[in-house]
Amino acid sequence: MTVIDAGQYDQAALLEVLANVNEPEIEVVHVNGQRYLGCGWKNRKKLILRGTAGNNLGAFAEGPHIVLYGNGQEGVGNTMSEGLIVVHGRVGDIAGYGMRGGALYIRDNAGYRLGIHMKAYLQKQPVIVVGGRAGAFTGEYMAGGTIIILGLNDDNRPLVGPWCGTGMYSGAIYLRGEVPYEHLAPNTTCQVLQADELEPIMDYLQRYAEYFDYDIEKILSQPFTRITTVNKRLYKHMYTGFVS
Amino acid sequence: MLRREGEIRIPSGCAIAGIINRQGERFDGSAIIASIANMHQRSNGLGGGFAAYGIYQEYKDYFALHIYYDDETARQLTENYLNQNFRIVVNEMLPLRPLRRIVDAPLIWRYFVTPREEKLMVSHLSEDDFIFKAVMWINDCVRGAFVASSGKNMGAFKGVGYPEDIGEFFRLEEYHAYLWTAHGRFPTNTPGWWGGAHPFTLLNWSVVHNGEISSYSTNRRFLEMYGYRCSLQTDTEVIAYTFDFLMRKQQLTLEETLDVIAAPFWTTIQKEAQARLRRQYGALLLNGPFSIIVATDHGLVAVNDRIKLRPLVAATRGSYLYVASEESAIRVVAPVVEKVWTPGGGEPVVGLLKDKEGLIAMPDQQSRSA
Repeated sequence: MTVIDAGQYDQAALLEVLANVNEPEIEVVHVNGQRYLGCGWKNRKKLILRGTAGNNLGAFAEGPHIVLYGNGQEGVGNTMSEGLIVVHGRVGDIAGYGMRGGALYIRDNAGYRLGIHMKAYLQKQPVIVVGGRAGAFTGEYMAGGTIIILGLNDDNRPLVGPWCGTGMYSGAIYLRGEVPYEHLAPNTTCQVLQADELEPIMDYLQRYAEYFDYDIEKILSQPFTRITTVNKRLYKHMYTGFVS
Repeated sequence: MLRREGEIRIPSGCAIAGIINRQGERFDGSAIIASIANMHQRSNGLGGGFAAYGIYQEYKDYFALHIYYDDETARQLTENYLNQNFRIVVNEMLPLRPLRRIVDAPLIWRYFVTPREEKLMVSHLSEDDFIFKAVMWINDCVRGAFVASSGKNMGAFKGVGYPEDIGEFFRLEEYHAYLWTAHGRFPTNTPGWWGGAHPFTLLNWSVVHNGEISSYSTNRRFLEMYGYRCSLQTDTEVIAYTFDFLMRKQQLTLEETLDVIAAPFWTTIQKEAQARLRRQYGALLLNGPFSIIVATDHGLVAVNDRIKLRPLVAATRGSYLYVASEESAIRVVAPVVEKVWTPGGGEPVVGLLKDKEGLIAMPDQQSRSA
């Protein structure tokens, strides 16, 4: 495994050095704000990062396994289509923006606009799991995939901010524990899940527990609510001229 | 061959940073330079600047004017005016360090002044309003001159260049302040010139801003009715004047001021007092995406627009409070912090000097948040 000290390079040089490492596993230490790490990577490499990763970590990624020991900033997993990003910390705004495949696991909180414009097609089924809570506009314009918010940090603030699921027309958002109904968009509908209905997300929950060494029983100790959408074509009246 | 629009992409977006020692202990400018330099990519070299509080202990009872001139004529006109209205105790060129990366710098002068007593008496103005009028007059009426800062025991240092170069140019490592703010600029809608660099200041207020104020014209028209002249060609100017108007002239609290500039939506407004403020000062609602740091001699407040369209991170370590556009800009000067968090939209981060805490009630954290 190659170990690289991010402090030794400027932004452009670091990306170039990383792109030219021909080993399956790379560790980067002293990361502090460098952008575009793992961005656009089309490979199966494992990238281990220590520090605070800069904007667009793993953006457009197609396959790499990125593990960040520290916090992410804006745009983590932006438009990624394959691979796995595991953040041992929190992330900023627009994490998983337009995500179309792969998985994003965040140990703590996520910022505003988590998973907006997320989409899915056939075997491309993106998933975001957040251990803490997320800000406003979570899943806005969501068109597919899965967002799971666990609220494990117990800080008495709502699991998601206002306008959750606004303009959403497909996919599902799962909230663990108390649902802030006043923050859900009017086109959404909620269903509290029975124990045997957790099957679609069980694998994701177990992975969260495994990645962050968390007790799965604790995760399962609260009920889950699934948020899906009522109306598939929300804005048809705006572009068809008449309501059919 | 000339490059055409769209062929070059500069993925920037302005950077802001602030550091306060709440015990009032002063530290030199190298930390704030390191912090803003970490976000180099957010600027494009067309503006950088700093505000520093507590730097002029020796002259703390005098107003410190930093004035930029295009030429000697502008300086003479301005100094004639200053001489008539103020007792000038120090009149000097600001010490600078010439750098190859900083070009076309104006003439930059510093004055420590106090209003002439007889002039002040016949004006029927407070000292602050006397200075306010002078600043507006110079900015508006003297061609080729503008006042970069006009407070007591504080100063703004700004210009065209990357912020770390501007910091070196102004020799900020030689100044000691308990509160620093900084800005790296990526001008979008307005020209990148020395007057348009942040911070924007008036008296002890200073503002650094990432974003744009779509309501600029509305805000400006309102402020102009009260004698404010917006002459620096950039939207951020109205934020500085809005704080001066609401908090100094109208005597609103910080909480009320935040309820005006980042008012909750009519659909989510909860308190009648908030609704009343929105009706009364609706023209001072700052609309558009922003993250700002507003500072005075008492401390700083950092806040986002209501739906948080710009990044903002805060952290604490001992007596220090750090705020910045990116967490990395904090970690570069404070690798280990006690607490790090991202405030929600409209949710202020307030850092006041310990002995000034009683002066401003701590604002409600969530009532504006979306």
